[in-house]
Amino acid sequence: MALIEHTAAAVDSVADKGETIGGWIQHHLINGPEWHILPGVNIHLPHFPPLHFLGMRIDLSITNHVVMLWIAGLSLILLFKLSFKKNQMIPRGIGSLLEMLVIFIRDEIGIVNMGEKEGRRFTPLLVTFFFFILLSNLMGLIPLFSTPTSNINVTGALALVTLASTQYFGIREQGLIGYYKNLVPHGVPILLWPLMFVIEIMGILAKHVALTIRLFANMVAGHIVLFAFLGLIIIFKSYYVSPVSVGFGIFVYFLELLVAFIQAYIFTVLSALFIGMSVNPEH
Amino acid sequence: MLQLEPGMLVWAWITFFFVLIVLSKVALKPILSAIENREQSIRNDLEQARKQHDEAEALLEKHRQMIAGAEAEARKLIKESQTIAEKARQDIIEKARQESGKLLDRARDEIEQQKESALASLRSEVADLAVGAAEKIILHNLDKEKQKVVVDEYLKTMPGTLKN
Repeated sequence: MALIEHTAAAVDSVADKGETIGGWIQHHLINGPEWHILPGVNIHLPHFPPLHFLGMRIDLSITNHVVMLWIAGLSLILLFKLSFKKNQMIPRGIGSLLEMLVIFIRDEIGIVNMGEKEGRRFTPLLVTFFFFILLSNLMGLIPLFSTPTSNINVTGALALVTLASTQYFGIREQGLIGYYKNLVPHGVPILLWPLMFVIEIMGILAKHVALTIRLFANMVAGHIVLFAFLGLIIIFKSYYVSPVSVGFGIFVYFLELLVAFIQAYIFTVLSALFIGMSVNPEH
Repeated sequence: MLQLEPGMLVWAWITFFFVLIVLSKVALKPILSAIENREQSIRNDLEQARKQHDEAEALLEKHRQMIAGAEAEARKLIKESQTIAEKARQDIIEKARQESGKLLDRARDEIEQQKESALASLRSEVADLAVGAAEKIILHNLDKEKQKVVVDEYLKTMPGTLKN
């Protein structure tokens, strides 16, 4: 009885502050100007006045997700820097694991999707994609950190890097006219060319929008489910729900761990595939 | 959640390209070249090992042939020396037999000669004796006493070794 009263009191206090479960979940997912560096300690990040460029309002303020991106990037650089000693033919420890992944990305993602020469050339980009996205995905699973890849702008920026690479390297390999001519499949009647061209351009855009949405939605969905399970405790106003909630929460946590790896892998594979298709036209 | 924030986009690009450039300068280029070098060296080692293996195989085959040749040679040599030895034995035996035959013949001849000469000398001696005895007998009157004396005298003229 005391437990139930306790829970009810907690829920009432939450309701008093004007919070709902939906708002609480959203609060954990959306970007904000604060960095929760320790429990209860929030750092207000610097705010810059927005720039106006081509009619867009660009707010370059440092936000929570920007800090998370920086942490992911720095830890990635440190991880590689510390685990690889120079002049060491045989890597040990984490170095050998990282090297295995690098070789896997080079051989099974790069060379398989882009061919021998291009695969080797684009390996640094693909490795950076994979590890940067992987670390960003995994950060949401650590308390006090949030997932920068659950922000559609971040995944969009990454997909735009892929899009820019396909266009830039495609044009560089085949020339401006040659590249756009090769977009239309061979054997299409001349009359259908304008239509096919538009369709192909839309196809390119759709592929990259799908790339954006896939990573973003996977990352957001996992967190929403996780928080929703925990929110059940508040909704039912009972401690007795907590074993079920926590059990499912742990299950979803491990599922997210899996999804983090899978999505990083998928993003890298699809980027390799798209760049490979534009660099080698007759694929 | 779905609102577009160009600032966030710009920050993501800046971070991503910073990480891309630094990571490929600091880590990925050295790692990839190290991997390439290692693969190259493994490939070279394998190639070399295969070459050496082939070489060793060829050498082994050559040695086997050499050993077989040497064995045949040795067998031939043994056979040859055996026949030579056999022939030499036969020769030696034959020669020895001839030699011994010759020696035997010579000895027999010698013996024969000696016998002949001994018989001849004996015969002349006996003849002398008989002549001497006859002389004595004829010179003396032969009574019993005298006969005895004659024989005794004769016996006294005989060489000392015959006494008694």
